[in-house]
Parts: sequence; structure tokens; C-alpha cells
Amino acid sequence: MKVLKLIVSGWPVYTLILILCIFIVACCARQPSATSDTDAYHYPVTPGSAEWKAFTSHDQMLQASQVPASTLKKMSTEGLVVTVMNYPLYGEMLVYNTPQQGFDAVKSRFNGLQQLLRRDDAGVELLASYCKMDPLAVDESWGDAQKGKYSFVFTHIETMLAQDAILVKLTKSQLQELLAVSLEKYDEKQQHEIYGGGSLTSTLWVMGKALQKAGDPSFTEQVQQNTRLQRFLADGFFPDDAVVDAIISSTEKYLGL
Amino acid sequence: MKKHIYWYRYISVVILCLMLVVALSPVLHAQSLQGMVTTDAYVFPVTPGSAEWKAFTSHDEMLEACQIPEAILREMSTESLVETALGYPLYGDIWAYNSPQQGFEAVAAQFNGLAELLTRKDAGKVLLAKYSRMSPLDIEEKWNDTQKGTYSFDIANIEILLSQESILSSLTELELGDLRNDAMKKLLAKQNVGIDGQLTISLTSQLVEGIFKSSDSSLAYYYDYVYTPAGTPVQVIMGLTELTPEQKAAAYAWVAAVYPNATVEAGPTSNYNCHSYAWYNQSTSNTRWMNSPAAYMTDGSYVYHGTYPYYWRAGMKMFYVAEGSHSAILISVNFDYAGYDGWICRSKWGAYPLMRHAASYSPYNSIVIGFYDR
Repeated sequence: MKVLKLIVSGWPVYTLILILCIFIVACCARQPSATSDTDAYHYPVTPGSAEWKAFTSHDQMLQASQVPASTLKKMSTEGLVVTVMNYPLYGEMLVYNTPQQGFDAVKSRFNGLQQLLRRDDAGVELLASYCKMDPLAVDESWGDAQKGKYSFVFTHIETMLAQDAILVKLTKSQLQELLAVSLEKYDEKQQHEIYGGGSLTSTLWVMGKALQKAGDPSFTEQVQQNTRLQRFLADGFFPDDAVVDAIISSTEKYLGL
Repeated sequence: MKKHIYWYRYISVVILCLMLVVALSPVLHAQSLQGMVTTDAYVFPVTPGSAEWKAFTSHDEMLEACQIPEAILREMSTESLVETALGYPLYGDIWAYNSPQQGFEAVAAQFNGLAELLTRKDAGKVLLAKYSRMSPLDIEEKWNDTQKGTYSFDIANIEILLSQESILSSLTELELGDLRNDAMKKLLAKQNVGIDGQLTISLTSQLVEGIFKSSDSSLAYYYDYVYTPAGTPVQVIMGLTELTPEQKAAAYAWVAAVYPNATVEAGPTSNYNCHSYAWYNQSTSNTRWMNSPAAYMTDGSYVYHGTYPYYWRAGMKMFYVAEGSHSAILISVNFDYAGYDGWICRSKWGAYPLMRHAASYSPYNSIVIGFYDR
């Protein structure tokens, strides 16, 4: 009886605690993660589901992964970046002979990526997402596939950042920031075994394309004289040592390092 | 009048000087060339063609006559030693063995000039400089067959020397890069000029491979050539950086999740891609990446059978035309299915696994697929 009295007399305190708990839980649930954010699109059919397994052709997969046009138009650019990064078939970019071929193939079939490339602030949002990514934030408890997938996320965003349609939307100071961030990530990637030469290649591609877009005179001159450098900038396919040296040294020089 | 006489004398002196320069220029030119090339190279006292050489009755006598006196050898500059080694009367013995490398080792064991050169720290630099001045494109049409063949062997002889581990390891990364680029240019030139046979062409390939192995760079790779059945060279890339074990695991997981109705037949690798697998070599130990198989389809090596052929057989080549292109090999056909759903094939998905799948069940646009057979 005494206990009951105590509870009844103390109800305002309990109510307050309860409200506080609900508020905290709600706040935690809204913490943004790398793959879900704001108004990003949730794909109704995803790999692993019974519906996905029932597909008998690639065309069916492509159709199920399009974003409804009305949703697409209303979506924020931030949400669109997340939507593109979560696109179930984004990995197809890596099964072509060159990164540029892979990007072009995915772009031609996915309306989400086409919409992102049209947004004026696409470059700024991609740069913001890229800045938040940490190549060394690899949880050692992850399995191999999860670690490998984490390394591919960098390749995906870097391939987007290397596109002329994105770089043209960045100011000189934003290009400079992109160069500084990518150089830092290039160094960090070399410190972890999950990133191989292919991962370094996509970072170098961003640097080379950003330098080119920034109009750095000495780099422009090198590009004019070096056909291998021209080819790498055009397709993102494995650079040779001389191309690596040219891009790294030009980036460091451009940043005054 | 005096002024005129002065001018006549002055002009006469200038003309005389000019005539003297013109008359002496061949001599000066020859002397300067000699100075550039021969420096203090050793002059072998007995050479093939001479009466003394003809009098030799054994190989040992030849070897003995061609040794360089130790005192001279030690004083000789590396530039001269290179010229001396390449001018060694028995250097051609290299080609009398089962392989050029076996021949080189035999000759190096018998000739003190070559043994000395391999110990010089700057041998690689000097050889690189000499090699860069040579080109298969320098061969002139007016030369006779012997001259052309000799020049081809001159390049091959220096390539054998450059391929030696002790020489390659003496070069810096930058020098190795220069040598690799130079050797690749020569490889292409040899294939275009048509004087070189498979033996001397393969020496350049081996040199490039040796350079690749000597390089510390993780991003080093090199070009090579394979040939269509009709003999057209097709450029391929070797030594691309491999996916990491984690990336391979992710590639496996991705194809299993996204393409559950396709079958993985071999693991992911950057060693070979779809075109190389379909057109060049179906072994999973294939090490060549091919970016364009166009020559196979255009030089008469294969016959085009349309996009939905009435005739089919397992092993036919399939070429996906749209979006960057893709190649596959036909396994079977079930005409009960619509479109390409019943056409089962095998193809390598970029650096991802080798897959068995319906032609319409892959990442590649199957709107138009061309079929080819021999």
C-alpha cells in the first residue's frame, strides 16, 4: 500500500523521466548514418529479397530500381546522393573494362544518377559526403566482404567526383578542398591493406580531373605533352608510374605542400 | 681604289676559310663520331675473316684469342666496355644454345669482358643510353638482308644484356620506367617493321617482363600483344594490380546477392577480362587484359552469324554491342525462352568473377548481341 502511495504521489517525476526517455530514443534513431539520410529513397525490392531472386533478366532489375519521377523531383540533393550510393545496381560500375565505361553504363540506365548530375549543388553535396568518409574507419571485427564493400564505397563516390559534369559545379576553392581531401585519402588508403591499386586509382583520377578543371597551368602543359596522362584522365583506367608521379607532384605543388 | 683592294682581300680570305672548312668537314665529322662511339674500346687482335682466325682448329683457341688483358680491362671505361662486349667476336654464340638466356650465361662464363661489365655499377645506365639511341624503325629499305638481319640482332644483343638481373637491379625506378617505355615502343616497332621474327620479338617482351618484376611500384603494368587466328596483333595489358582479398570477397558477395540465378565459375581477378577470356584464352590462369577485341571480328578470323543465328554451336563467341561492349562464349540454347533468356553463356565480368548466366541476365545491355564462329 505504501509503495502504491509512493508511486501515485511521485507520478509527475515518473512521467517526466518517461518523456525524457522517449525523446532520447527518438533523437538516437534520427542520427544520420552513411546509408540512410533525410528524404533518401528506400528501394522497394533489394538484392536478397524473394522478389529480387525471382527476376529472370537484368531489365527487370533495372525497372524495379528506378526512382518514381515525382519522388525524384522533390528529393533534396543530399537525399539524392544517398539514394545513388544505395542504388542496388551501383556495383555494376566495376564490371566494365574502364571506370568511365562503367559509370556511363550505370548513368544511362538509372534515373537517380541522371537527376543528380543535373543538380547545381551535386558537387558540393558529394564533396561534403566525401569529406565525412574515413578510409581508416575500418572495423577489424567486420568480415572480409564487408571490408571490401567499404573500400568500394570510396571507388563509387570518387568515380562520381571525377566526372566533368560534377567538377564543373565546383568553385576554385571547392576544387582546392577536393584536392586536399583526396590527397589525404590517398595517403590514408596506403595505410590499410583492404585498399589495393584499384582503390588508389580512383583517388588519383579525382585528383587528376580536379587539377585539370582548376586549370593549373603546369599540369595543363603536362597533359598536353603526355598521351598516357590524357588517356588516364579520359577513362580512369590504371595509370602507370609516370602518370602517378605527375598527378601526385602536381597536386602537392598546387596545394603549396 | 685602296679601299676596293682591301675588300677583295678580305672576301678572298673568307672564301678560302669556308672552302677549308667544307673540305675538312668529313674528317672532323668522322673523328667526332669515332670519339662518341668507340672511345677506348678494345680492338680485338684476331677477328673472324682474318688468316689467323681461319687457322684456329678449336673453340678454345678462339676463346683464348678474344680475352682482354686484365690490365686493360680494369682501366677501361664502362662505355668502352659496352662497345667491347657487343663487338666480341663470339657474342653470336648466344644464339647457338637452347635459349638466349642459356646462351648468354655460357658466353658470360667464357669471356672476361662480359663478366667485367656485369660487375660495373653504371652498366645499366650506359646500356640504357645506348639502347635508347637504337630503333627497329632505323632499318632502311635499301639495306640488303644481311644488313637488316645484323641490325635486328644488334638490338636483340643489347636487350639480352639489359634483361640480366644484375643490370636491371642497378637501375633506379625512374630509369626502369624509361627503359620500360622505350622497350614497349621497340616491341611495337618490331611488330610493324616485319624484319624481326618471333624469337627477337619475344626478347623485347621478356625484357619488359623483367623490368616489371624489378620495379617496386604497386601500379606498374605493361603492354603486350596477342594475335588473332589471322595474325593481327591485338594489344593486351599484363600485370594489372590485383584486387585485395577483401575486395574479392565483396565481389563474390555482390554477384551472389544481385545475380542469384547466375553461377560463379571462377573467382574475381584483374588478370583477365571478358574480351581476353572469350577471344584469346579460356584458361582461368590467363594473365592478359584486353580492352578491344575488334580485330578478331574484322580481320577474317571469325565469321559473323547475326544477332539471332539459326545455326549455333557451343563455343561461339558473343559480342554485346551496347554500352562499353562485352564478350561471352555460348554454352547452350533453349528456344522455349523469349529473347536471349534461353541463351546460356559464360563470361568474365570485368575484374569480378567468371560467370555462367543467361545472356540477358548479366550487368551488360543485351539489346544487340552479335554471334561469331570460325
